[in-house]
Amino acid sequence: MSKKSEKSSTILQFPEEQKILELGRKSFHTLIGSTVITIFIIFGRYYTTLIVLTALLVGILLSELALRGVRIPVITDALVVFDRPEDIRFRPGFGVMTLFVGFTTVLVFPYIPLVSTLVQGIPLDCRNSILGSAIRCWKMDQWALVTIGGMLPAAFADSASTIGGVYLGKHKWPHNKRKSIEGSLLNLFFAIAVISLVAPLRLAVIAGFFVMLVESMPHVDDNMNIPIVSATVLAIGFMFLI
Amino acid sequence: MSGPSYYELNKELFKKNLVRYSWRPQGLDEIEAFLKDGRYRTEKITRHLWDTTWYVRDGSFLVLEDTLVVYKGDRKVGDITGSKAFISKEIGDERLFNFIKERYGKPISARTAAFVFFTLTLFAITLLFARPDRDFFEILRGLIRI
Repeated sequence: MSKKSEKSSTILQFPEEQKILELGRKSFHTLIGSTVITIFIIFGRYYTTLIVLTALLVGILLSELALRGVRIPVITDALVVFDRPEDIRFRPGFGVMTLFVGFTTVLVFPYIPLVSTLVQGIPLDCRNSILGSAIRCWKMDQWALVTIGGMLPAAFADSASTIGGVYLGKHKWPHNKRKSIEGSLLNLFFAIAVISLVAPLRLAVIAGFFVMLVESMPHVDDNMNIPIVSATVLAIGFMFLI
Repeated sequence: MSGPSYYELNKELFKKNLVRYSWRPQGLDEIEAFLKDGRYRTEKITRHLWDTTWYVRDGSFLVLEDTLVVYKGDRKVGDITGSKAFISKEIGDERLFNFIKERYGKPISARTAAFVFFTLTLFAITLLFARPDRDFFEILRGLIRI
């Protein structure tokens, strides 16, 4: 193998057009995620779940229409600007849809019979978290901090890793040639930072590590899995470690 | 890389109202023969996966995909592979659409069905087992006052 091809097999290179696209795309992703988290804090779990599920259904419909060649004002233009070409080809708006699937899973989880009994065992300890003490656990249920702790890394850490990965990423993971070690480290840093808003630091570090691990996996949709994994680790942590 | 870039082609076709069909794997020869009757010009290219997924162009993947790029005059109007067909609606050729539709089937994916099923299940769980934890209109009134 020549030196050039040897180098290209270990070093990531991203085209300029992809860097620009990912910057806009992930900024939009973070905006959507933080909007849902804000709605959750203000309106509570029930209405947020209904709003996000309705948005998901409408999104699936719009995506199908876009695939069939229907030009939808604003939406089609937004897809051309923000969406990845392969997503436009196979499933327009796939990123937002999977993000909402992840969000709704952590939102609906405590409503599932039997699981709701388990959730009652999670202590709502707001004194140990920045966000919890700031809003004094205002009308929050037991699963609230866990839910927010699931949504925060999906909204922020995932964006940071993608943007950081395409701009700074050089070294590929051995198990996933599409992801960079630099992007994953940024993911870990941001995940710990945002999860520590709702959980003690040691728990945030553990959850952040799992988020980074899931995010770096090949063939796994991180938008769907990050909220679920983060919320699961936090729930177990709240029950047994704190 | 041969042929138009994946990025350019898809953005262009998408803006022009493409129709996408995807159902079962097809050989491209029959489709190429149908198109080669003077109405269209076709170019058969083999794209590496890193061209078609556009994501990483470093030679990590070695999967090849035969693609039929379809032109009408100088305009690109289609992008057809063994499993997916993208045809620009602006060409308005019913025979071509029917031909593609017959071979590729209905443009509905299992993923869409899974998404809808998942969403409706969660809707049902929420509506059956959950109760509002806050007064929606009271919060709205509070927000308006702010």
